[in-house]
Amino acid sequence: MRKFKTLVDEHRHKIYTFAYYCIGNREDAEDVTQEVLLRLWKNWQQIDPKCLLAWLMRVTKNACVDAIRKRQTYRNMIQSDKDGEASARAISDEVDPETAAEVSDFQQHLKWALSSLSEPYRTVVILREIQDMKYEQISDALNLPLNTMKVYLHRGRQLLRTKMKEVVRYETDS
Amino acid sequence: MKRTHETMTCSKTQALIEAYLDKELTSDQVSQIDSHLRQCSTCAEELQLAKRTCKTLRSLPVQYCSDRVKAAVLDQVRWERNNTIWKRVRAWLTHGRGLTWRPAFATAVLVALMAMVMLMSRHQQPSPTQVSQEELARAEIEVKWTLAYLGEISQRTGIIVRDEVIGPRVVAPMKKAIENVLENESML
Repeated sequence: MRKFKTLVDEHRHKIYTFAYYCIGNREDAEDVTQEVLLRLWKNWQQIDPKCLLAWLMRVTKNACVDAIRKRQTYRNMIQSDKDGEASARAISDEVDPETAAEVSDFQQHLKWALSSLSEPYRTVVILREIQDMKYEQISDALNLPLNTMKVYLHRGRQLLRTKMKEVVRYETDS
Repeated sequence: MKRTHETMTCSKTQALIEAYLDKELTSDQVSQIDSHLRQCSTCAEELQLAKRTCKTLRSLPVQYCSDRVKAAVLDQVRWERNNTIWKRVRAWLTHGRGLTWRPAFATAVLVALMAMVMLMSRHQQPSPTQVSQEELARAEIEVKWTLAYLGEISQRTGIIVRDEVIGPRVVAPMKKAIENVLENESML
């Protein structure tokens, strides 16, 4: 139990960070974190410690996809919103009240753009650019060949750049 | 001679910008892109945007997971652990052939344990009162004084009995009677 507590303390922030940037809101990110840690409790003794981070990120990604799907299904039930991007925007358009004054528009829009990115680009970008994981760790986590992973990373950043062009154009015009 | 920027089109340049930033291109490709960027302001702006996006992404903060989540997980884990022990006991009692004998056996063991505990508590001898060394020494002195006093009393009693009872009432009359007998024999 003590060893499990150590694992929880060591990894919960990474799991939560990934879930937060993937889903875009804190409540769902906390639910996902809790779910992932409980799965870790059931399986941690069978996991090779070297592969633990990759395992956690893989489970977190799957849990995030489920959470987003559930949320979209719910939103589709209450509004006829079939545009996934609009749903993602509604989910992720959450301004952290503590930092709203400090965080630039660019960063806020980038967070939105990130959570509206499709899979697997979103996961790869978060794991590489925010979690600072190595290429090999990401390719293990997602069961992707290394070159494929790099292609996804570049493509993900390119898609983000495209989304951010509008923000830059707005900044330039204003 | 072909101008280098003609071989590197805008669409190709923009497609390679991310690899360019990650330094994953060959030196030839890098020099072609550098050359194109010097001549094409649109692509130069794209490169600046790509750099800004990358820099902002990398500066997005690590999010702090609240202690509430940790507490909820550990509570759940403790509950499951306790539940698992009970499930194993229940599974052992109810699983497999001969379902009836295991609960009966477990009950019999429990009753036997309770009976043993009750019997042991009934036959348990009270332990002697613990007395200190000081109290023992004091008691010994008191006993000695009592015995000495009793001895003194006995001696005095003996003297009194001899002098006041046996002497005048037994010895004296016997002495007088013997003296009378002797006197009578001498007169004869």
